[in-house]
Amino acid sequence: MTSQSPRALVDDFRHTFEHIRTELGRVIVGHQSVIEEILIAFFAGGHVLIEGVPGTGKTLIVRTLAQVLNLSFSRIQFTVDLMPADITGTRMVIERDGRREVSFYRGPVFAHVLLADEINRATPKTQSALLEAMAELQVTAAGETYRLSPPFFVLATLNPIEMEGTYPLPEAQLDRFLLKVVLPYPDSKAMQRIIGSTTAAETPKVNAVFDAANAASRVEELKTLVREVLVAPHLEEYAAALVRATIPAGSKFVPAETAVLPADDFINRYVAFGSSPRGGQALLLGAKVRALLAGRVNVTYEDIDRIAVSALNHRLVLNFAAHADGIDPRYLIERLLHAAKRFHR
Amino acid sequence: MPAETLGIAGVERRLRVLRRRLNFFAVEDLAYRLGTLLVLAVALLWVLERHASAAQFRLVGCVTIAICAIGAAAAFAKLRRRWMTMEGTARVADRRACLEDRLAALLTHRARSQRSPLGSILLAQVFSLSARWEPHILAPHRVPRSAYGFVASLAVLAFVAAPTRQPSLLQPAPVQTGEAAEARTDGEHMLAFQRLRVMSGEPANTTVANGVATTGGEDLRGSRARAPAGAGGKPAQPDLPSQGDGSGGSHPAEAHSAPGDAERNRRVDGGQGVVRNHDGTARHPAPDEKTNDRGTTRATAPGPRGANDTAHRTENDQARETETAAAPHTDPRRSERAEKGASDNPQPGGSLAAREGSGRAGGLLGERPASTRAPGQGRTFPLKLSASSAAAPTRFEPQRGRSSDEAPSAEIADAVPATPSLGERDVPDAPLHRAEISPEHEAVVRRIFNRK
Repeated sequence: MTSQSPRALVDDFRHTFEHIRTELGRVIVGHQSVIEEILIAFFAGGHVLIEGVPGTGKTLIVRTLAQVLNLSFSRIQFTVDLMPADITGTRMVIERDGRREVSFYRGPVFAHVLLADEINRATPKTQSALLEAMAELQVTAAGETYRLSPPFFVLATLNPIEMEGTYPLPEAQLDRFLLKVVLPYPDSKAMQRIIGSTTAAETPKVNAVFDAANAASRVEELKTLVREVLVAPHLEEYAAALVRATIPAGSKFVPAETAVLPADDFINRYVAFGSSPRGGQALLLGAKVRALLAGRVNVTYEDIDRIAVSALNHRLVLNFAAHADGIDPRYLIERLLHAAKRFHR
Repeated sequence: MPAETLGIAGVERRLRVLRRRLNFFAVEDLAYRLGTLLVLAVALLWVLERHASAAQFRLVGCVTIAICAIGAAAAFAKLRRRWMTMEGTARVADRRACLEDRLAALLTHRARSQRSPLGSILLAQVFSLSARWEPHILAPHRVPRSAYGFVASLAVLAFVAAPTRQPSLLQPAPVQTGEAAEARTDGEHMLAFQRLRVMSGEPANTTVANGVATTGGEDLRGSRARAPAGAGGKPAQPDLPSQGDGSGGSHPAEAHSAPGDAERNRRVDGGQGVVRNHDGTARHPAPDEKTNDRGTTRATAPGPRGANDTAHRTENDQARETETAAAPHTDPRRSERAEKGASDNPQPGGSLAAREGSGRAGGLLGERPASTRAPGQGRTFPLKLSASSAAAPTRFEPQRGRSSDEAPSAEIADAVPATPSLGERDVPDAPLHRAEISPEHEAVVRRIFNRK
């Protein structure tokens, strides 16, 4: 933390956030809620999985964000033949001054902002190459561990169609993403503005919010501030209860205890595996950012509820019955939130 | 001491006040609930103690005590759940004052070993909103709703306990049938009469036998009978033999009867215009009795009568038993005996009815003959419904909403046949005269009042 007063820090956070959103809005037409959630995940120190049909601006959002933050940016197009070393880097024999020496050639993962485009087209082995980097901000290659410089922010895009030749992400990989946001089709007016602005001779320009020299440190400052936000014990209990409620009652991994929230029939019927504790972390971290954006330094129930769908929907592993009945995990979580309203009192 | 610490201490102080109020309210609520339970239990036991048997009282009492114990345990468990900690108080204040969990978060911040730099902002926000969460605003002193239940239970208890102090308010006076009331009045008259005699210095061997006062063996029936004769509409018969037919209604004590008795007796007799005497015998009423039922029958008296009353009644029963055994209940004989009685006793009023009634007695009474009744049971009228219906070709609708003291309605009077047509040798009853007061009675009363 800097020597700024806490009030100044909070105000700076809100101002920075609004500034980034405004700059993104110059390029990205519409999708305000998606941009907000991406920024929440960014300042919460997590990663975002963006799901959307092609052409809706997924890659544009990420690239523009990197420009606005003035951070290093890498893009990996995931394909079937992509290897883990293509992501993390590999040891290469380099001839220098007449001498050959083995040195580590850093892969694209060594960047502040990483765009993993169409991540489900790579094999699970390659997908898993990101696991360590996302969770621990480090890469291990040839027995050596290399630290990633913070901030490290992964935005992976997922194409829900063209499922042939794709590999669903492992649950462990999915769990590493703080939020999963769905990018819908833009509405008519947004569509008109998109096609007008992208086909004109003059393309919109964005201004960087941070200086290149201290961008990373500034972002880290703001991320630290987020973690200082206060959470009352009963709100931590509420977040834990929400996560616990996503686990079906018949699961053999459920501890023998009485759930705080009543078990939902739909959860028991359609969910094979519920959320992990990372879901609870995502709830609280996202809620903290929302609290700061609202000018508060403490979390409320509403903060948790508003982030719950994005934080939990990709952590529910649905069973065959859910797929057969066309059940969306977002619907299940909204049901849970509705049932948890009584917890607010 | 840092300002933040002082500020948090101030918040804690205010929260403690709020907590004290909330906990006091919870205790108060518990006390009222327990009080309600106990008062209701006492009321229930009170009622049971007065109206239930010992076994029922024991059973319901145990159940009540068990319910009270369970209720008390539940109330204490609820109190334990409602008992406020500081964190709980902060949550309540947050919720009631719409503080968005700021107080709870501030307490969390206080408990942290490494305080957040944002704590000061939170404290400032809490103080800026302090007007919202004043303890007297969030938890004003008020009476719990359970107090109303307690008051209601007290009212129930007072209602239950009221009969002990004012029995007339809750326990209506036992409904006295006309005959009972009349008999009691009659008995009281006789007792008062006897008491007057004692007070006036009359001989101590004065007795009251079956409502007839005798002094030294002198039968005062004749003189006594003259007094109620005006009411009964029958002249007294001083020379009536003591073991004679008492069913003639000439007994002076029998002269008084409630009008309800006459009506009831008429119904029992099928509206044939027959009135019934105390021993079950029936007779036709005199013409003046038709217009004024008062005094037509002798009420069976549950009042204090004395042993002589029983003795006298036993004599009458014996005489009637003899008569009943000798006379089968067939209409020819009854009419014959009626004719005989009319010729033997030409006194107007009562004699014909007496003989007619005595002839019908065996048929209208129940299976048990009148002679088999034990002394003191003369008050009962063991009637068979079949006998009543057989004797009543036209049944009257029940006179609902009418007390026994009311005179029979017009339709009943129309339905009841008038005085049966007199035979050639029958003599109509004499007109009603006002009874003369017996000289003995008058002398006694005068002596007493002169002495005072």
